[in-house]
Parts: sequence; structure tokens; C-alpha cells
Amino acid sequence: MNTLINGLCLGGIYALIALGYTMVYGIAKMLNFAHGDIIMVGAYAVYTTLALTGHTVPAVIVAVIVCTLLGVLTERVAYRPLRGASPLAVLITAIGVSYLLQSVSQLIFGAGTIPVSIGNWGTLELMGISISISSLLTLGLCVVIMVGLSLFITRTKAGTAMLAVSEDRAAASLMGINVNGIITLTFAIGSALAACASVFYLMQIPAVSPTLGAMPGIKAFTAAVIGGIGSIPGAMVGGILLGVIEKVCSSIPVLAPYTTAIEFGLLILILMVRPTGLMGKTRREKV
Amino acid sequence: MKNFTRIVCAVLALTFCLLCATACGEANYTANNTTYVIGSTGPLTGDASVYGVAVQRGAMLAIEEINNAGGLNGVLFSFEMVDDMAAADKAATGYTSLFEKGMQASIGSVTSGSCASFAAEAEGDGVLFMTPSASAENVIETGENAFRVCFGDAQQGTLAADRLVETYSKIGVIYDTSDPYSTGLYEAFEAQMTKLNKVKDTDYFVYSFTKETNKDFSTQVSELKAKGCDVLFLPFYYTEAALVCKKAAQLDFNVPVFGCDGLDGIKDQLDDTVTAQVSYITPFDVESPDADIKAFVDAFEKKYGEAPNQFAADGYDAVMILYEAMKAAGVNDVKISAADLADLLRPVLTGGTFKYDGLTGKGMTWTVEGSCEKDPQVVIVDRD
Repeated sequence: MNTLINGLCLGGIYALIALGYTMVYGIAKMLNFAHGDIIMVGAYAVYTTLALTGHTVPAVIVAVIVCTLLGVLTERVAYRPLRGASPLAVLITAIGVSYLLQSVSQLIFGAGTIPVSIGNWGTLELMGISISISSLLTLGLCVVIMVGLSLFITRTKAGTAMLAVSEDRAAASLMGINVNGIITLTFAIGSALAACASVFYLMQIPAVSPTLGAMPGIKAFTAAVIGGIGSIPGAMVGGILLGVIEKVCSSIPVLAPYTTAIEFGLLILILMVRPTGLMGKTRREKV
Repeated sequence: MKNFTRIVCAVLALTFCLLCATACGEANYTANNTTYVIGSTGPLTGDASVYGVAVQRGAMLAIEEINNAGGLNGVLFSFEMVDDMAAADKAATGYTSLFEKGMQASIGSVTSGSCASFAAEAEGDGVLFMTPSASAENVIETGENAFRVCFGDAQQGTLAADRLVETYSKIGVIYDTSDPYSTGLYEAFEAQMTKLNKVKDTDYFVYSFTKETNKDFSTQVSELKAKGCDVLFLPFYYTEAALVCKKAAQLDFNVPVFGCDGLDGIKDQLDDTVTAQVSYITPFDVESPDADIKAFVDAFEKKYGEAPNQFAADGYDAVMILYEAMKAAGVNDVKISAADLADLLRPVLTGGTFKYDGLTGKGMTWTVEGSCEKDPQVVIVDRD
């Protein structure tokens, strides 16, 4: 039971990150490999604000603002000039941005791991098992954020405009939608989600280092692909699935050393059966 | 036919080059030495840089002390350290560049993985090394010229089992299956537990992680809490151990934490949320009242502005041991080749009469296999 809650909690974090990958892919048709490092920057923002003010709330707000601005900035500076360039060039630029962010953090904060304490609220006894309050909070807030995002996309004008751009960029622009504006908005939302993920990540794993974003980034990307990249519910399902599998595997001593192998093995298996992922759309290319 | 001639020419040219290269390989690199050169590789940058930098600082302090006292018969010592970022391949190339710079004796590499590849290279040239901190078993198995200052992993794992069963009845163990240090400690621990007639899943419970999953320990900690363990044995490094301690505190699981020398440095990673007692096996206690240790700590703090850790003490001892052994062997030729020096030092170190009183243990002696015999001590992390 505890394992399940831990898994759902980790899955929620993966899902938040995966949403960033999948939204950017769906709308800008690019893989933003710097997304994991946005989380790392968010974590350092939390750490710095906590060290300065000592309060959690301003730390969260600062992290969200910093990440959103950073997301918009990288889109403007690095990706917009390459719109229409070959996908490979954009991909390599994204990897470049990722290394840039890591190296800059290493220059500012050093290569070592810095301990951060956030979310030590003890445990709650529920039906005979003790669950940490920060896990429950993470789980609850992840669900709230995901529901909020779904409502935003289906119920608001900007949300439907995002859907339209992802369906057909040229047609959307003919209908009077500002495509560049929508792409910027997507990066802003994706990065804000990454900032939330970084706060939840720190509640679970109380330490920051320049390479913090790498592994959750890869896991979340895997989650996005398992769910079907470009599909928002897919990213949520994929993230939670991956989180639960990871935690269940590491709770069984025999399987624990193979946790990562099992996760990526699952990715291969799902892609063999459903090449577009669990909830991906199959799109026929018209000639 | 023209092509054939070309190929023959090319082959001949290549052979000639290779011959030249082999001839160069036999050059006497120590012919121009004006000081005794001690070489080493270690992580000076990257995740493990804490260890490498500490060893470097300790070793430099020893060299300074030796040189201020006039060196060996008036000949001074110099110390060269190459950054290997704790990677085996970089340690091997680092070794080669050190050897070509005239290295005569070595303190090997700082981390086990690097030191194993360093040892393989050094064995071919007959270079003697005294690693301060590489504790894996295979590091000194390569040959007769490999020695170390610290305890081996097996020595520590056995010791931990002996200590823990004295006080505790349900030991929770977590270890890193992707790390040779952690696996080596755990395997020795398990072997000793079996010897002590303790049963897995009754007297001790084991969970593991890998370097891909070394951040989130919620599963392992909550499982061990559910099993009712009364102590946590964490045979790995302090960065991960600090995360385990904090996770345990978050889950209100405040049992004592016990570890090996990898936990040295954990103090700075813990905050006041962690109330559990943390202790580890270490040969070096920075707060020891011993006069030699006090003098070292003061000198180190004066030079570098921070207190030395175990690795700094190991680095200091490693250089000092080489120096004392050279003195005992009556070395008196600054241009002596590394292999000749090794032939002089080996019988001294393993002879039985040579004893070294260092910062990391009194009366250290070495077995023919190269492992160091000394008394262990357990340090409790002072949290005030």
C-alpha cells in the first residue's frame, strides 16, 4: 500500500514533467531535451529563495516565475530562429541548451550536492499505515494541476487555439491564430509545470545538484512516449504507470537491481505493440 | 603491380614506426629527475571530487613537511596528481602520462574503479603504489607492488556485522548493486552474518538500489520501517546516505544509522530534521586528542581553511609511508627507476619489522598481499 502511494506520488511528478515534453512536441513539433534541466533550475530557485527567506511559499512562487521566464527565453533565443529548420538541427540545439543550463548551474552553485529541506511535515496514520504528508500533498496537487490543465485546454480560447495549432499549424494561422504566441504560451505552461515538478521532487528527494534534471527528464520523456507523445492524457497515464512500476520493482529485492531495465523494457514492448504509444493517434500521411 | 608496391612500402613504413615506438617505450623516464617524483590520479572535478581534492591536499601537506625537513638525504620530493574524474579509462591514461614524467613511486588512485585500472598499468612497469583510499579487493590483487592504507571493503563489511549483532536484533540493510564499493561491503557483511548464524529476512533485511535510482529511497525506507528494523546499515557513500537519513526522518523512522568509511563527510549533508544517531567505521577521527592528529588538523586548517576528512589523512599517510619506507630501505639515488625502487621498498613494507604510526592508525603493517593491518574505530557524528 505504501509502495503504491509512493509510486503514484513519483508517477505524478513524472506526469507533470511528461506534460511539458508532450505539449511542446504536440504544438511546436520538437523534442525539448532541455526540459529536464528546467526542473533543475527550478530546484536551485527553490533552494536559493529558501536560503534567503526561509519560507516555502515564496520559494514556490519564485521557482514558477524563474522557470516560466526561462522557458519563454529559451524558446525566443534558441528555438524560434530555427523554426522551419530541419528537426535534427532543433534537436541538437535543445541538447545544447540542456548542457548550457547544467554548466551554468555548475559554475554558480558548484558541482556538489546541496541539501535542501522542504516538506518535512511528518507522517499521517491512516488505516493502520503511516504515509508521509508531503507524499499525500504531492499526489493531491498533481491531480489538481492535471485536472486544471485539461480544463484549460478544452474550455478556454487559448487552450482551443493550442489544440488547433497542434492539429494543423498552417490552417490555424489562416484562422487568425497567432502561432508564435501560442508556441510561447506552450513553453510558458510547460516550464511552469516543470517548476511545480521541481518543488514536489525536492519534497521527495531533498538535495539539489546540477545533474538533478537528467534522470527525471529521461524517465518523463519515456512516460510521454509510452503514453503517446503529443497526447496530454497519454502523458498523465504514462507518467503514473512508470512511477508505480519503478516503486513496485524497487520494493521487491529480487527485481530491484533491474528496475531501470524493466522500465525501458516496457517502453520497447509498448512501442512494438502500439508504435504510437498507448493513447497516440495514428496519422495517415497523405501523398 | 604499382598498387602492390605501394602496399609493401606502406607496411614497411608502418613497421618502422612501430619499432621506433617500442624503442621509445623503453626509454628511461627517470634519468632527468632532480627530485623523487610521487604520482597519483584521483577525481579533482566531478561528483567524487571531494575525495580526490582531500587526498591531494593531504599528500601535498606531507610533501611540504618532508621537504621542510630536508627531504631524503638532501633530495627533495615532488608530487604530481592527474584528474581522473573517478573514471577507469582516465586513470589509465593519467598513469601513462605520470610514468612518462618520471614517476618513481605512487599513491595509486583515490577511488576503487580508477585504482583497479591504474594497478593494471602499474604492474606492467613494476611501479609500486600505496593507495590511500581505494578499498575494493581487486585493487591490490593485481600484483606484488600494490599496497593500501585504508581498510579493504571485506575487512569493513565483516567488522560491521560483528559490531551490529552485538547491539541490534533486526538490521535493515540498503546497498548499491551498481557500485563495487557498496557491493563488496555488503557481500562481506552477508558472509559474516551467515558465519554468525544470522538468517536473512529474520535477523536482517536487505533492499538495494542502483546508480539510476540513487535519489528516491522512499520504498526501501518504508519497507524496512514496516519490518520493524532497529538499526539501518548503509554501506555506501554519504550523499546517498544523507538522502536515506532524511527520508527516514520524514517517515518518523528514527533508528540509529551505521555505515562504513564512505559516510565520512555526511555531517554537512544533514540538517536538524534528522534526529537519529549516525555513526561509522573510520580509521581517522578529526576530533581525536592524539598529538600527531592535532598537529595535522591544525596545519591542514591553516593551509586550506577547513578541517581535513579521512581521505586527507589517508593521502598524508600514504606519502609518509612511502617516505619512511624509502628511508628504511636506504634509497640514495634520485634517478632510480620505478621498478628498481619497488624492488627495494617491497621487502621493507612486508618484512614485518617496518611499522608505521600514522594518522589513520598506529603500528600499521602490511601483508604480502598488500592489505594494511590496523585497529578500527567507530566515530559517532556530532550533531550540535
